[in-house]
Amino acid sequence: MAAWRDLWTRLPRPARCYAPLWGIVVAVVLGLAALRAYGGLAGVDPTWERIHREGVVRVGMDASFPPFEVVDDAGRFSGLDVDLATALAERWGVDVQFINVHFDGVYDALSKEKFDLIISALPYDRTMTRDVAYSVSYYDAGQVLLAPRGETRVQSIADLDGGLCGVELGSESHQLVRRVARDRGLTIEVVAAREAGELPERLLAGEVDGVVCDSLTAHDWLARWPDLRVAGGATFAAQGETSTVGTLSGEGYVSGALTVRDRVSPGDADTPAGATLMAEKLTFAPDAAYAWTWSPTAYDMLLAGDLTFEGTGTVDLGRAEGDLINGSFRAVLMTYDTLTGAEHLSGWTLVNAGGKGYNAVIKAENGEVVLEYESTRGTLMWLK
Amino acid sequence: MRIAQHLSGRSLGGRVAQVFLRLAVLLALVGMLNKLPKRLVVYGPPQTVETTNPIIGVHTRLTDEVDDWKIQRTLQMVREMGSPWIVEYFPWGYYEPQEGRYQWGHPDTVINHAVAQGLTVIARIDFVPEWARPPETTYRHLDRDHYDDYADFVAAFVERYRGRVEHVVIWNEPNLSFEWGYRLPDPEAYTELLCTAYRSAKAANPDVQVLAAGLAPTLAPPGSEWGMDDLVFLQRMYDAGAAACFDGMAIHAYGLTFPPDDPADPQEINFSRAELIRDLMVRNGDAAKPAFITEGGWNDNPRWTKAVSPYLRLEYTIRAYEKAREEWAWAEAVCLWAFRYPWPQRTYQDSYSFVTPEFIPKPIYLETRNYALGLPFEFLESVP
Repeated sequence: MAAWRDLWTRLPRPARCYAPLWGIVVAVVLGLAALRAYGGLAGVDPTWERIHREGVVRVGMDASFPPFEVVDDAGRFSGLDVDLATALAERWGVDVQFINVHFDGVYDALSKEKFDLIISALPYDRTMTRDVAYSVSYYDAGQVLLAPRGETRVQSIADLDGGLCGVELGSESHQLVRRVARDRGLTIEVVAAREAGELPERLLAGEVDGVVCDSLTAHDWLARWPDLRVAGGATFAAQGETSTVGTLSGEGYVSGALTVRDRVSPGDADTPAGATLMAEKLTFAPDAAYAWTWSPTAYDMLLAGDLTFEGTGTVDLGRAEGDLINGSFRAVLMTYDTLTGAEHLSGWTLVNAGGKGYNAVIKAENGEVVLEYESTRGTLMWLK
Repeated sequence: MRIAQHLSGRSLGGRVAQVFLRLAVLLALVGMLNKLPKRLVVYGPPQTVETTNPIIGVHTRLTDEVDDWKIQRTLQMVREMGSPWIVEYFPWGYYEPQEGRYQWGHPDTVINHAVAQGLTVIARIDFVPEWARPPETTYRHLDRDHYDDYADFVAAFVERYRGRVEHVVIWNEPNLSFEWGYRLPDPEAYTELLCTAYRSAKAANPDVQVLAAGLAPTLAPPGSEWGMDDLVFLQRMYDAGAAACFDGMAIHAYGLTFPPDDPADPQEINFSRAELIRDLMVRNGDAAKPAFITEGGWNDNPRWTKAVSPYLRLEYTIRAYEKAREEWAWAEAVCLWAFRYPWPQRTYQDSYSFVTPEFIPKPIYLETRNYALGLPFEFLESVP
């Protein structure tokens, strides 16, 4: 948990802008917060004012969901979200108060100002965005494919065609594998184990070719069975090691030291803007690219402990020619605890930015690698 | 030739004929435009539910399901599972968005499909439209001033669906402050609402069975701002004269981590807590009234502290249906939460469902179907 805590403390202050509000934090005033992010109205956020006036941030959660939040019989809260809320409160210089509510009523309780934020393993819900503001997501609890570390054939679910896939009976993994097999026309024999805990041994014994489970379970199993690996993605491939990979993509947390030769990409090609990737020790090799997806409401983020630039590189916006961003903004591309090679950043450039017609500066300051973007494209107006 | 002359309009008669011809074409076009599009999804011939246990039921979740075919497919799957009963939620605010102006399209679709599948519908009615509550209140907030408005809607509903829906539930879990508009739960006020709705419903359709709301099983201490003990709440309802205002009792029977045969205990929330509600009915002279389990069951999320493993959920669910049939003569239906969500909730709520949003049946569905149809179990090792 300490590593997480270190990362949380790098979080930018929420008063500065909307998007870097880390964690699954729900603010109450979407409009003003969002506008401030783009240099718009300098409005007053009543929640933010109240928190500082009273010196306490009230955090709502359904404390029944480890490892994110639980409460013991003595009323003590603990878990990832509790650490996150505590770190935010420390940074803001206020106390934190946890309020335990049933999940069904958590949004209504926020609207009735029973608390200021929800931090409760809360998924983004586009149907609620009229009423609340979401931070970027901080954890992807999706499903992953595990395979033995000694073999390399299994890199994706398609590699299990004609083979055996272990899942826990009735679990989300069970439904997922059946659906993927159906939709992609794969012949996968699903081995449904009554107890999830028996799957790692069965995988290592060769009884199944792969196991699908959620990423939290994978974290646990990788620590207990070092001969397992996550197939088809670098997100966990560097678990606890020093490694060099071509591409690092996905969401989640990479422990150990990792050097990336070609490309770092929070999320992946199918992920909308707003993906979050965390790394304990990350090095960009010379000429590496950072794929950064931006939209008016969210953008990707890399959250690093020790960050190193070995040379110049590029920030790849992935935008088609003519799809230039109008306007000006300042955005946090990455955060770090320690930075090595900051002198190379002045040589970093934007690519695939939609064309010419902008000035961009990439620089490091106060624990953040930021992009200052200014459109220089004019607009023609005429009267009819 | 003369016809040609007429149509060419060179004579008075020709001009008249031309006008008539144009009118005829125009009317034909208007007629085509006004013709209602043919239903792509037909209700089909009436079906019957085959089952060995006629009290099996599920709470469907079709409120926000848009597509006709998905509504129909959901209800087909309910029937095919051997479940003759469904509970469905009909939000007042959806169907009377302006006072006195009803929009019955969606409930017509749901109810007609359900009836076509041979299902018995229990309709839960709540959700306050904006016009019937003060600004800045939640959709669960109903003041006494608007009890008559709610009752009018219930009356309109039971009148419209006479012969198709014969059970209505008045409100939901009023012993939770969340369900009472984040006000302190008020058994006397709820009783007044129940009696108001009862009178209107009976006037509109004397055959309708009015059910008192299922209470949330809760051990909230006295004075809690979040809820009131369900047993305390129900006794206060009786003390306020509720007995004269309902024909049956809706009960919520969640098992949490306990098996269905775990004995009832006022200090514990388990499936058998329904028996305590029943005892309380009997003590208050309501032994002749039936009860309906309108929510309940087990969750198999791997992280939620109040869940069980998917395998245990199979065992507990089948046993619960069997126990209710064997031991609860007063229970006319056991409708467990929740058959299918229109889209993934991405929370532990997904782990209550029987079928995924993509209509992939979970083992809980398959095994319930096997039980209901008297077929061999596929996953369970023995009959629970």
